[in-house]
Amino acid sequence: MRMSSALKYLGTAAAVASACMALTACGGDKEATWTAESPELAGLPNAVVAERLADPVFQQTLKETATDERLSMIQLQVASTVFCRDLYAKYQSWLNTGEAPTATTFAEPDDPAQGFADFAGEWESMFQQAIDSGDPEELRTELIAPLGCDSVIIDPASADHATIADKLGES
Amino acid sequence: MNFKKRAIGVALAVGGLTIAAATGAVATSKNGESTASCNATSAFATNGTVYQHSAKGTLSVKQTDTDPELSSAIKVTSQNGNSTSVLNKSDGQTATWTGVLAGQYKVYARASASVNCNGFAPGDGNYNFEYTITY
Repeated sequence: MRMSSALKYLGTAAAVASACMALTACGGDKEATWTAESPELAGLPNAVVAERLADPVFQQTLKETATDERLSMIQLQVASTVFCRDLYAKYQSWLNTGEAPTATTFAEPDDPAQGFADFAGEWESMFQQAIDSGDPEELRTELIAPLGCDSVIIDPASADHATIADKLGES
Repeated sequence: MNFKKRAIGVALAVGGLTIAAATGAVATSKNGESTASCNATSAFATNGTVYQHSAKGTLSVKQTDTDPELSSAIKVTSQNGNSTSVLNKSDGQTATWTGVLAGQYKVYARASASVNCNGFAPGDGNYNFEYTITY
């Protein structure tokens, strides 16, 4: 009888553990199921979404981030990568032509997560000020500032995966 | 003469304040603490506190105390997942990054080299990481 109770207890514990594991797999690791086709990322360029989600450094950062902040981080990561690459190209063009570039705006997902608009607005304003200065050097120093565009890989198809800071110099 | 000196003093003071306001040179310091892993290959940990770095400039994190005492790998991460370089610091040492873009950031840490903080229990365990951030 005692043995039977123990077995029943073990069986219940195993069932509970198994249910918990299933819940964790379904709801705890959402980023594992995000792809370029995820509806939450619609409106952003598919190729860049796929590229950023495949980056092992970014994957690790996502794992270190609270679950409810991950969607916002992915949207901002993709949009800021596009933004930085566009600005880098405009900076090069500015040097070549002598003509100050036009404004760059953030690519926007169909359904921006909380905080997306504020972040995008702040970045657009900061980099616009650098352009408005009329001095390409202002834009260069803004592009290589840590926690900005510095670590963005200019061309993911390139062999060296050079970042903007690699090409424009460390700050 | 006294009036002239006082006028110059006031002018200098106003000028100084104006420069500080224009450059955002007034730094803020705050203390924080978090629980971080004693395993150097584990995920970095944060206490989730967001710091508003309101103007481009220097950002630093001083490791003020750890328990048990060890060296930490420290980084700061932005809302978009971009991070600073990772710097290894011991108690009393400061990780400093210059020319950091304005934004909202979190402090992350873990042991810079794996240490057993867990005795005979499995795994390396955790440690308490105390810091002062200046931004």
